[in-house]
Amino acid sequence: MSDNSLPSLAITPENYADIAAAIEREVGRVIVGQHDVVRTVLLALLCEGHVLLEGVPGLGKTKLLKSLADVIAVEFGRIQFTPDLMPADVLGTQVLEQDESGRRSFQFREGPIFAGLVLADEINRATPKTQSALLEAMQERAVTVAGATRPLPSPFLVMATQNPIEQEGTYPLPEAQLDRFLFKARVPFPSGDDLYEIMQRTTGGYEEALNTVAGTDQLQAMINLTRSVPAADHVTRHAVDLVVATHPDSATAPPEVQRYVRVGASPRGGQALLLGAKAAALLDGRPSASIDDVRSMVERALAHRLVVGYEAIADGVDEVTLAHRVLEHVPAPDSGVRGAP
Amino acid sequence: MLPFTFAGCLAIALIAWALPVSWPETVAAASAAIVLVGLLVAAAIMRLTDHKVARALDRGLATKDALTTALDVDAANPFSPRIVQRAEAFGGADVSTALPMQIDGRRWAVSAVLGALLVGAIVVGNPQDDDRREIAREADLVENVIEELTETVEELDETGPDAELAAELEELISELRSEPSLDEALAALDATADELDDRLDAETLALRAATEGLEQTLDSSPLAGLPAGADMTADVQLAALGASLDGLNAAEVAALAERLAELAATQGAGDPETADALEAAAEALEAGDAAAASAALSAASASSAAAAAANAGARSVEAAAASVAAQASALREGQGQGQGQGQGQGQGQGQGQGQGQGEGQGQGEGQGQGQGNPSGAVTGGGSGTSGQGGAGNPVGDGIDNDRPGERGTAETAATGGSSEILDAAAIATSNDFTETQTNRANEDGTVTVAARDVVTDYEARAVDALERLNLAPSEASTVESYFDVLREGVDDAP
Repeated sequence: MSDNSLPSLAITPENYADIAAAIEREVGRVIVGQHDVVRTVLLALLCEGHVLLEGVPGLGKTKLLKSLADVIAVEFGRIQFTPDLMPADVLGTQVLEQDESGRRSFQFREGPIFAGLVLADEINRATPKTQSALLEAMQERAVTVAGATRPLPSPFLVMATQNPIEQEGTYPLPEAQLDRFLFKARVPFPSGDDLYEIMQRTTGGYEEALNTVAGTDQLQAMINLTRSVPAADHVTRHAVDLVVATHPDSATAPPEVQRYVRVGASPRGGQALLLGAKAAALLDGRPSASIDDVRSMVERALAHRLVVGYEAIADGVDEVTLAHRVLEHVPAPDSGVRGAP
Repeated sequence: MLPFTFAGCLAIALIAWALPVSWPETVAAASAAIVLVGLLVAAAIMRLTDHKVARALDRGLATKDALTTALDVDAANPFSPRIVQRAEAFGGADVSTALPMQIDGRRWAVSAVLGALLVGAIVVGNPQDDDRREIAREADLVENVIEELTETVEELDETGPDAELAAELEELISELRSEPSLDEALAALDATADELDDRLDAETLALRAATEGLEQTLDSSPLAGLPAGADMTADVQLAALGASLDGLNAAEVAALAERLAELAATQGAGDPETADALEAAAEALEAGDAAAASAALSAASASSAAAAAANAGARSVEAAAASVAAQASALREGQGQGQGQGQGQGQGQGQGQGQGQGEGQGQGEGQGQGQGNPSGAVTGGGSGTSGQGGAGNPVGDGIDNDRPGERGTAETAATGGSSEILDAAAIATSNDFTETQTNRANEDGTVTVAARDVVTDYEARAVDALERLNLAPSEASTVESYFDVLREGVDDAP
């Protein structure tokens, strides 16, 4: 990893996109393909959210986050969730230590969560108690142990992974916990060409060295700038319309939602849509969020928040399909001018 | 909206092609005009909001909502300058690219076709036009009748004895206003005219003759003690006489009794109640019972007043009947001639003998007044000093505009001589004439009235008739000369 002492650079909407593009480019030197996953993780970071990745082992999920940590000079932490993992193993614990003078005292040993980018690998393998400890810390951005609250670093992102093929001995995240993840993305199996490239890069003796393209200050400034992006009233209302359409009792819900969804997206879903749209606009070099930006966030922001019924499972209808159906059923609002597009 | 508007208006206009009604074209044209004007006004005053325009341009130019955001962004937002700048960068865009005019050719074509059909349906004559014109003409005829009848009603005293008659005419007017057919209107008019005519029976006419005769007699020769020409009605004179009996001497009382008896004799046929009261008064005076005479005179006054009121009502009925019959004639004429003008037909009503006159132009109304043979008994509706006969049936020929109505001819004309120039001396000395210088009751129940008592009245009526009739001056002069000679004979008679 290169030196991360970068010259001070004011973040403007113009260089925001440049820096983000540089981050993606730099990560792309190590991660082959997976552009959408990389973009999702970056968006989650810029929106101060957390991301849930779902994919089979060996697709580079750990590598992705570690590379990102290197590129933005943020400490990387990894937690491998197992059934016997305890909350203290995640958050940290009080340890009795003796100093040089022989005095003994309890010292808090920070857990692996005290990092900028934390990989919570196979979170569905941990017990609900441990999951809750992690999720609570994610929400509060702080750890409270023995009555003392310790803030987590900033920027802070947890990228949790779920293994979709091993269901025995797992504890699937409940819907309320899933809702805490800003985005969810599926890590697809790489294409043939990407797999070839991966094999070329990872089976040789040369390992690509990543450059740091942005420091934590700049990243924090980018995070702050993201929330300042304005969205027109009709853009926000369209986000509302999309969230409402995920509820089966809504008049605007498509028939498939009415049939297969038990519970629609929460208001966090709307927040994810709008924040993601703002970040996407800045990444595109635009100073304002648009309808298209909102619609591009539907799959990653709303799909995992839909609670489907047994009929959906029986019919093989998943949440992503339902999210796309919502997109089709709720078109972008027209101008209201007769004859105009 | 335009195709539906034209289609709806066309459907309305086509009603006029199926039914003989006059409103569909007007309603269709007015509806279409209102909608078109409304659309133009709406287009002029309903302005598009800036947001709508911005939104349309954003979609047309694919600006990613740059323009709309520029309208919404708060000036304090750090992105505001960049957003506005970015929006302004689209200022040079081609509006036609952003808002391409989307003309729905199919809709405009349908609108044009429907609009042309609508104009054609309204403008082009349809098979129902003749029927509608006929219906309108008939409606105008009925409306004219309604106006005339309304004027007739207005002339009646709706709060007095004519209230019932006015109500009947109002009911007839209401029936006519209910838009009946011409035949129905005629039937209603004829029915009303017949019903009114039925009230003018012989009793009514007899009452008229008696009442008006008494009025004329007392007007020309008031009761003793009252000044002539005092313009007091018969009932007033009788009432005044009843209050002034005490001031009469024996000779006056005897003369008054005789006079009252004579008057009673004239009222017997038409107004028996008054006749009885007058007879009772005469007998009371002869018996020297002034109180009884006064009471009887009061009774006679009351009954005379009632008879006069009844006669006034009968006059109103007669006038109303004539009016209704005239309107029916006008309607019948209009029905028969189509678009031609109906000319008057003379009608006469009456009983008895006499001469009738009818007018041949416009609406003819003839009423005849006959004069009884001065040398004989007056028959018909009245008896007494001045009886009235009805007229014959004049015939008016209303078809020819240039030819006035012909005079009606009665069955028997009054005769007083066979030549145009009468001989007064012959009249004065003729047995027939001299025998009528005294009033007497005849064995057959009739009454012979002195010529001198009636000739003045007859002359006055003749003069009145001359004024109303369209006679040649020579003919009028003949009548005047007749009465001059007659009067001369009366004066010379012993």
